[in-house]
Amino acid sequence: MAQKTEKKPAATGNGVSDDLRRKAESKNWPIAIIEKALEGGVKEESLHQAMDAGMTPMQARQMLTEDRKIELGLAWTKVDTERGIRAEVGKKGLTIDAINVGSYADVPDIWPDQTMRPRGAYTKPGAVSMGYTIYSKAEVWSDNLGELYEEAIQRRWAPATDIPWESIAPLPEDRERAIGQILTALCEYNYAVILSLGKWVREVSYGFHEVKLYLSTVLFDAGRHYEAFRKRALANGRGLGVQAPGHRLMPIREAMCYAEMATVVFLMNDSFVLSLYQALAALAQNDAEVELFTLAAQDKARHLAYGVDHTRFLLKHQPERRDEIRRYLNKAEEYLTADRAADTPLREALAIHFGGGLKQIGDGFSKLNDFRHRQLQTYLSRLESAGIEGHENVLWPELAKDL
Amino acid sequence: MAIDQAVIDELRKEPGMPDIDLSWLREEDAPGIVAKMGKRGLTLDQINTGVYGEVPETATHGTTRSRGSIPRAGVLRTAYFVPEKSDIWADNATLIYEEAAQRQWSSATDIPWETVQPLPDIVEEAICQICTFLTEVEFIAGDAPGQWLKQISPDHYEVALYLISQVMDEARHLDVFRKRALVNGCGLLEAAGATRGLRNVLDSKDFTEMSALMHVLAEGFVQTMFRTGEFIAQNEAEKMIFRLCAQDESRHVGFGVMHLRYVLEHAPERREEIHHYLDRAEQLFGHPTDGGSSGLQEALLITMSGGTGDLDKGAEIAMALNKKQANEYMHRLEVAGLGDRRERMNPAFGMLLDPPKN
Ligand SMILES: [Fe+2]
Ligand SMILES: [Fe+2]
Repeated sequence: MAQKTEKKPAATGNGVSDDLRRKAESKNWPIAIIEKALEGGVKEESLHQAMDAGMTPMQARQMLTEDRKIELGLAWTKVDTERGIRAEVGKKGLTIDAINVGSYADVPDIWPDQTMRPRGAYTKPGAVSMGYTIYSKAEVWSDNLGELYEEAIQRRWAPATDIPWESIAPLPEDRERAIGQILTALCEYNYAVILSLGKWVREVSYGFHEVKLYLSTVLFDAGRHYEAFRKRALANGRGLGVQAPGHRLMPIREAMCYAEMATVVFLMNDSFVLSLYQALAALAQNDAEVELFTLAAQDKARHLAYGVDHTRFLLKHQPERRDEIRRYLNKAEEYLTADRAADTPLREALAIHFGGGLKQIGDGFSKLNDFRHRQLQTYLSRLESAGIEGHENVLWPELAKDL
Repeated sequence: MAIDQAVIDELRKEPGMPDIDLSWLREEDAPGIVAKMGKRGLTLDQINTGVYGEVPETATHGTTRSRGSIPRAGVLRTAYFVPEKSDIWADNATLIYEEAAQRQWSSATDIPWETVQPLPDIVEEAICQICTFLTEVEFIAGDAPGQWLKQISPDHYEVALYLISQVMDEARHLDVFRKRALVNGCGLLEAAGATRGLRNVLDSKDFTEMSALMHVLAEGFVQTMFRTGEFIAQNEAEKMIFRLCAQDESRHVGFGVMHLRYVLEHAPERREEIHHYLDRAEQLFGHPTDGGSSGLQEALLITMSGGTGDLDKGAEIAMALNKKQANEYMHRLEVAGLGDRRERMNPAFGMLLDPPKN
């Protein structure tokens, strides 16, 4: 952008072809603009095209003329939005919650606007819809969104370089195959979440930007888990195992409303997945697995924190939806048990892993049963925190057997 | 090394042992893989070896099966994926994704917010107007790739991971410009409303259409603007914001350019179709009813004049920016293999082009 003005002499009025002059006159373009454009190196042909395409002389002047008297309308400075906002930079920097000051913090129960107007900004009448579908705060909201969003960013990690991969030494065949099989299932779970969340991020209207921001971090986490688990499975000579049956993924893809998806993913499935991540961290076979599953569990805990808070918020504002939410939970429970019944490789891989080797698979099965029991208890206590009490009485019967 | 069948047979005899199958431990089902750490750690390119690195030209299953794992019979379908690799692929997806993972930044703590000091009212308003525009449009570039994720097969998961990294980047962009607008005594001003050009990105029914419109055209223009950010910025914080955002946008634009190139190399018959998408998009982006962005233009003039009130100076820089945007756009198209666009580019941009270098 350095060479601008110093190169050409002033326009002489020469060099405008008759053709161009005629067209300029018929389109009401001042000849001075044409001269200026030619002087600036614009091709004659382009000017023909511009006039044919309906470009107004005003637009052309805006683009070309450097020595006109510029007048500003400044209408945008007079719009009726709240001013005087000076958000404070706190201990954790300038956070998304810190800028929720004055009317910018007002998150209405129903967001009234289908456009991409940011909350607190003014939009001229006539702005068009961007096709969002979620306008109800209760459907998506939770008071910890901002905090979880910033935390996700602060605690980011990169699987390529933050995991001590070099600590992975060759393992006995049964152990390596078992962890590969477990990771195969976890990769698929994370991919299903990716497929689903991508859609839901886009449905949330612009006024609830905290939700869009937070979901973006969950997507990024799910992508990272998919990536990191695949890397672990492929890092030690063996690789992935047998594809999962996919039953438990059905309720995720079938969710018809956001609250259903959030219940199924962030409250139900993530509870079971977090317990598994934690168990895998405890049973890690090398430093890489310690780090991998500890970091993954840390991410997953955020997802669950949202799941619990979101459900509590929803039930507080729409208590009539309690039974509906239970149905979503039951459906997810049903499909989880169907998955377990069908997934022999995963069950046996877990038993090998819990037992500490193929020869201890019998012991592994009983440890797996204990784990299932704890997993379910933890799930029930999380439901209680979310405001869903007594769920042990209405659990999906197959799952209740783990009690 | 196989599992000893005798061990399995012995195990079956143990009292209280549930039915065990263990057929998944067959030797032939573990093809073996040697993934080695590279200079940049264990990257996706590093694990793309053997069967795991074989990216099929056509995704043939509608399940979440990971590439290279053993197919299971009877699995329920999850989605209709875009089958053709050439419709969604870019050879640099893995590289860009890994770079994104390394270069994440925090708008809360990586921006020297303390350098934002009181500005003359009109300059502060101009900055806030620019931020209003940016916080408004940035996440369209998050929604658009987001809504495509459900159509990306796990056979082509590299593309999904790249798209996710873009959603994350755009979240941060929405967030950082909103933060800037609300930190120094002003606030948000006038949004342009949903513009036709951006609607067009969300409306795209074809991945390459979406990518050409969003990555190559729209984000290309935004990236050039970010890279000219030193003329807009009034302090170190704003310079840092533009610099970091420009770095992110380079990845998005880079994916789009390489995707377009891949398409043109592997499906050359699509050239005219792609021109058509760009004909329409260029017209919408340059259209007088698009955006009502006079606020943005005026705010740029004010900031680019350095708050001196010398609007001519601002206009000169703005003009140079417009030219740079058009020329860089043309350059990207050339890299992608669409150099013939020069002849049919919308005059609103075409007239700003420098003569081609030969
Ligand atoms: Fe962006
Ligand atoms: Fe972008």
